[in-house]
Amino acid sequence: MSPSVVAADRPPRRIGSTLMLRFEREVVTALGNAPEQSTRGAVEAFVDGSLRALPEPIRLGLLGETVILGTYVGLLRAAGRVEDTVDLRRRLDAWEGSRISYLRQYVHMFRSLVLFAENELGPDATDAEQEPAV
Amino acid sequence: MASITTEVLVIGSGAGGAVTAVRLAESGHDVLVVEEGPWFDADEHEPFSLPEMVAKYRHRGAQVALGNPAVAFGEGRCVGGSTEVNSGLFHRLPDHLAEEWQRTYDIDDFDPATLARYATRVETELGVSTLPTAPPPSSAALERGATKLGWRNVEFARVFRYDEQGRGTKQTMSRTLLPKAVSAGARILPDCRVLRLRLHPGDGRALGARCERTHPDGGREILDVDADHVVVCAGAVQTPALLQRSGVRRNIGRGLKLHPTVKIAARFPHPVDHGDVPMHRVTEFAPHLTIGGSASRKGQIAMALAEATHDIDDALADWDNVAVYYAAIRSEGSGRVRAIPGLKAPLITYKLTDADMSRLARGLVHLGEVLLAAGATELYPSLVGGPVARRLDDIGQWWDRSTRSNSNLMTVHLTSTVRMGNDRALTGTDSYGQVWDHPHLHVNDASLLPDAPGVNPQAAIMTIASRNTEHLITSL
Repeated sequence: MSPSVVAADRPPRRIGSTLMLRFEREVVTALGNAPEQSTRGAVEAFVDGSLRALPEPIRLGLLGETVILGTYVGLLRAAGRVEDTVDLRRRLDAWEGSRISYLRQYVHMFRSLVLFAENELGPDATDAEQEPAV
Repeated sequence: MASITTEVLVIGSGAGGAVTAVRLAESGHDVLVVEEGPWFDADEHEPFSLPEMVAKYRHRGAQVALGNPAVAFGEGRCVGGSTEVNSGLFHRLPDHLAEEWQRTYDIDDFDPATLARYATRVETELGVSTLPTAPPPSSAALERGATKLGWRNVEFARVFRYDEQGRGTKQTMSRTLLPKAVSAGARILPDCRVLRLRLHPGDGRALGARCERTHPDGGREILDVDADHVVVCAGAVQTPALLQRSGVRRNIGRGLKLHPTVKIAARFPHPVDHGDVPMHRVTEFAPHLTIGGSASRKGQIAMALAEATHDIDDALADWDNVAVYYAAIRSEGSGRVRAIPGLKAPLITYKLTDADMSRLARGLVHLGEVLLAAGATELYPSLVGGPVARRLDDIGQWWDRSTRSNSNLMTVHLTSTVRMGNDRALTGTDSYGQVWDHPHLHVNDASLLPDAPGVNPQAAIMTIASRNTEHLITSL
């Protein structure tokens, strides 16, 4: 059924496939609730894969927000106003109630991905399936 | 460069593409179907699970129509398209909508009687039925609540076949029409993304497509398909994006319509089912507002609970008793799909009107009313900051909370980006999906619907695709 394909071209450059940035990893950690290290690792891997899979316009916008928010949190850290993961989580919770829709949606998206993964991949998941290598 | 020749190239294998392929193949035509996504066994993934989302959804289900508020949505990306991942609800296009669309867009052969003929054939082929047994608890709750309030409700038929034990199997395209098409001689090429259409530089007619094929080892290769006719059935987002990338832009990608949807996670004092989607719908306010049930695995419940509050531990620990429901509206607003040079994914925007927001607030309140009437004890609305409602008085606060900045919206039905009809000022194709000014280039999917129908559009898509393909066959 398949045609014979003989020519190989270089795959096109993927603009939206950048790795998860450090601040994004911190956000995932701060929003996570899973006590088990294995689940936390699986959740981070799932979020990383989901970010890579995002449509490029969305991923590019998200990267921009990450840089801005990461810089802002870095300044807060320097000023001693964000010291640990608990502080960052408190800050994220506040942002999710913000009137600025892009700020709210940034946190909402990460929280949704983390919650979905924790509850589908964790030990108490519906059927304890692991993320497939697709 | 590799090449392959066919009489008709069908791009996409979902509700539109599968119907197109099987009708053409069974009429003796040479058909090649190219599908961007992989080809899975229909039983390989548990419905609505994380593995299914990773494997079968475009962008793992994380797509967004930007706007204020944004609308999240998902679409299938596998052989069979969204029919592999949806709930299988099958609702004929309402007669009044067919008549309205025929009038507004001057569509030939679009009267209810004609459409009913094609719908009947599709329903017979697929097996459209209601439950042979009592409804599961999540669905019975909607029926019970609506009946108590005196509201109209109905069990929607689905593309399901049931065995003697009452076990249902969803009749997706990979189980039904695509195997029939293959039996009739059609070829299906999965993992094959169309980069752009090949059009004659002079008269604009379709000559085929340039594709990028991904092999199991991850290697990618370019494949040119030469075709006498090209039928694009990639859905209301990918079809206009592909046409635009190929230089076809007139009335393409504008007028996107969808069903904005709000949700509630409802906690009951008894267990509810989580393996299926409720099949009952509250139709008291239809067609402008429909109430139904959503996928309710633990992951979806956690997300739905967290829309309203961060204090979800108690309810999540009791997730066996929680199910997710929705209210979907027909929207006055509209959106746009724009292909951006250099990017694979298009930019999608949607603008909701104030009337839409008001209707969504009303939908949320009615959804809350019916769930409380059904016996729910706690309601978590998809509003930032909730509040969680435990009685009717609490629901009243949702009116004021349902603002653009507080509402989290989603949808699964997108349509109307390449409308059909004889009025060239309003449409991208003629009455049968032939793209204006581009001979031998056709569209045959959700893009053609002039508006969102207010119900799951799969039946309308398949009915119209069947009609259009029959018309195409007469010209081959």
